[in-house]
Amino acid sequence: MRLIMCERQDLEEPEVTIAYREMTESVKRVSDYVRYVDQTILCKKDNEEIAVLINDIFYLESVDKKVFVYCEKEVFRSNYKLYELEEMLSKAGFVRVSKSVLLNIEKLMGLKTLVNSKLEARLSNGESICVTRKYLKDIKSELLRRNKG
Amino acid sequence: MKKIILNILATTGISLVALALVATCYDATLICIDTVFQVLGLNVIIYIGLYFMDYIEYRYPILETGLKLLYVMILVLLGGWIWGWYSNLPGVVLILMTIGIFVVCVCLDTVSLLSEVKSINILIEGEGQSKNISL
Repeated sequence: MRLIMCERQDLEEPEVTIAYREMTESVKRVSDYVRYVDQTILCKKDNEEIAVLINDIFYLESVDKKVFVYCEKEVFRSNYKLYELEEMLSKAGFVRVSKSVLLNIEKLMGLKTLVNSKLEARLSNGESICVTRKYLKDIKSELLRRNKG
Repeated sequence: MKKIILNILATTGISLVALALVATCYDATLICIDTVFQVLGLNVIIYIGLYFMDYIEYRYPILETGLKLLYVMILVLLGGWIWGWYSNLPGVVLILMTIGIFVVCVCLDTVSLLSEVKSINILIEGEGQSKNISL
């Protein structure tokens, strides 16, 4: 895949054009990435509404019917339900890793099995979250899909 | 689905080998065809239940293992009663066999899990390297 960068002063915001002969997995992956790179979701913090960039989100967790959005150092609340966020973010590289957690696969650094047979995902900010075995195949599918590109 | 079928067949195989080993201690020389199908049928029912039990997230892994063993044990003892296994095999021996087969299956499952985690970590590493190359 060739990358051609072109500076144009007449543009108000960056524009990406993808030229392809055939819609392959890698072309689709690039288009999904571009589509979601600037996408935000509305969250709340201290009664203030904030647009959080999807790429800044590490994981989302549902606790007591409330969804919390975890970024590198901040935590926000979302009014969406977890299943709604799962539908919205599935193409942006978010996978369910347990009943109540959606993980941004970009932030996953590694998986580890613990002594008590539990699974732990290590994130790029040093944090660890629990992973349920049932969702390993979804994590693997997403990684395989990304690696094909 | 493929994995469940493989697990059922593998456990049936292990169960029949265990049965053959125990039967040898009682001077038996053959296993009935009926027994083979009974063991297969029982394993199908066990795995259907285990599939639904996997939807529950347990706080403690030991609780999960204990409940699964209890579930398997109940089904095996019930199956033994329905199909008249106790006429040829003492209940205690059946219980010990069930525990032994369960432990073997848990060990094989753990090996499979470690292998799956390793393959995922290789994929994660590969993705990290490709990001570094593109930068």
